Amino acid sequence: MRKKLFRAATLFICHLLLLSLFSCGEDVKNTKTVFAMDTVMTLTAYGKDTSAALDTAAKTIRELDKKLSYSGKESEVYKLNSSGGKPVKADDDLLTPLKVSLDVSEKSGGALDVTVFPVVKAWGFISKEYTVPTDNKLASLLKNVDWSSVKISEDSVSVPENAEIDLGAVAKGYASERAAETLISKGVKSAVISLGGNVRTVGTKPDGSKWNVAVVDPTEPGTKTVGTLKLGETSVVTSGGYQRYFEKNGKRYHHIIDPKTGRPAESGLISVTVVCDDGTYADALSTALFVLGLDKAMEYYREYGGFEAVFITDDKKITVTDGLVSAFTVSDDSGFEYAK
Amino acid sequence: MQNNNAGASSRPSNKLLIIIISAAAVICTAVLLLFRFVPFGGNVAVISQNGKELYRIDLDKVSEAYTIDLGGNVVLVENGAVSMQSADCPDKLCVRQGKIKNGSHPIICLPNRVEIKIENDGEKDVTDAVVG
Repeated sequence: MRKKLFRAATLFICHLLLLSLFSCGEDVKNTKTVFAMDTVMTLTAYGKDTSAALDTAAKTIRELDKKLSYSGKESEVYKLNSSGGKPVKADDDLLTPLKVSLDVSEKSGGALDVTVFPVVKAWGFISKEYTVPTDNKLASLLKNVDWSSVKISEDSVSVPENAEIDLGAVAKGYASERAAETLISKGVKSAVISLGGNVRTVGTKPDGSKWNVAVVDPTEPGTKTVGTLKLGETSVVTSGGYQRYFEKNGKRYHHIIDPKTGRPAESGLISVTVVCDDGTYADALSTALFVLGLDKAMEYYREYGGFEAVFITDDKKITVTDGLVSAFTVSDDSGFEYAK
Repeated sequence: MQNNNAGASSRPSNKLLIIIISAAAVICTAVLLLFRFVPFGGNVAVISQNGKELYRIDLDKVSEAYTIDLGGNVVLVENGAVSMQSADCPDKLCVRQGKIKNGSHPIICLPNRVEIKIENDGEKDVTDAVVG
């Protein structure tokens, strides 16, 4: 009797110890903060021994930051812009995000355009010395804005001498994709990569449930969220005029420039959140769809698909594409409602 | 096993063993539950600079508002909310963001590499990430 009891007790205590060990192991959360690409990035991985993988992913991001920035000695983009129109040898880190940009440019009729960079500079969004450019200045800069002037071959790219490109609209998405690849290759099963609003998830939460990704309220980005998306392994990117802007004479000018007009896009949308398995596409699409406006964005969705989206218009109405209807929940006190 | 001395005293000893096992079970379960499900402060502000955590403040326990001087930035800590009161950076985006609380986007001052975020560990339906 006593022997039995003793055995049972030992087993029971071992069981409890094991249980507590396991529950600790799966819940271990490692985080790493990286300052790159003009934003702060937080990498979170669950599970023991994930901190070395995070260090490697952070290194990947820093390298991409140097390569894909518009300036700096190691910048592939800078080399391309200062090549005088001649083809420049390019590796996958330049070719992949560029190809994605050009694909979205073509499908969206130029709503995303890597060659709009000189216009973005003229508004001061790069130097942070904001000004409203004159109509003449914009008209002369727009002459050289044409995504189709960028030519890609198997291992090289050329940009016309009088044009300048920037990969700001896709670099973070591409970096999040590469960081996720790095983590997965190191055996990480559960992680969240957050690159200044771009989110790439790896796997599910340690307990197997979906991730909760909150979408910021574009009218009160500091304090409120519009709703929450429940998602598995995917990428989520939001574009909104509230993210970067300046005010002059009582008017607000935001940073998402319509390549057609050279001015901040006024499409009626105040934020677009794209969910897409490829982070580079998610990044490119969120910008393009913001410029297109709701109706044309929905046309794009119906014609090409491959992504889902949450659109928020300036009348505080939310439109969710079919694939996200069950994943999205509007916050109770948000003041936003679904469009009819 | 040390059960050779079992004899007349086996009954009370068994009782004792049962008590010890039960107590161990209760304590272990309690500890487990505590770590897994009890929220440690639902609304914790984490202030870091250069990726290094400097302060961790339970905002629900702040009775009187106070400021923290980080050199280039001054953080205002209030009951349930935190904000950047002032900053010496050029665009002042962090100051303009206003107060943040549970579920908000973190406040970031890029030039000074300061980040203020809200953590709500332990809550079951916690937000894992924010886009926007």
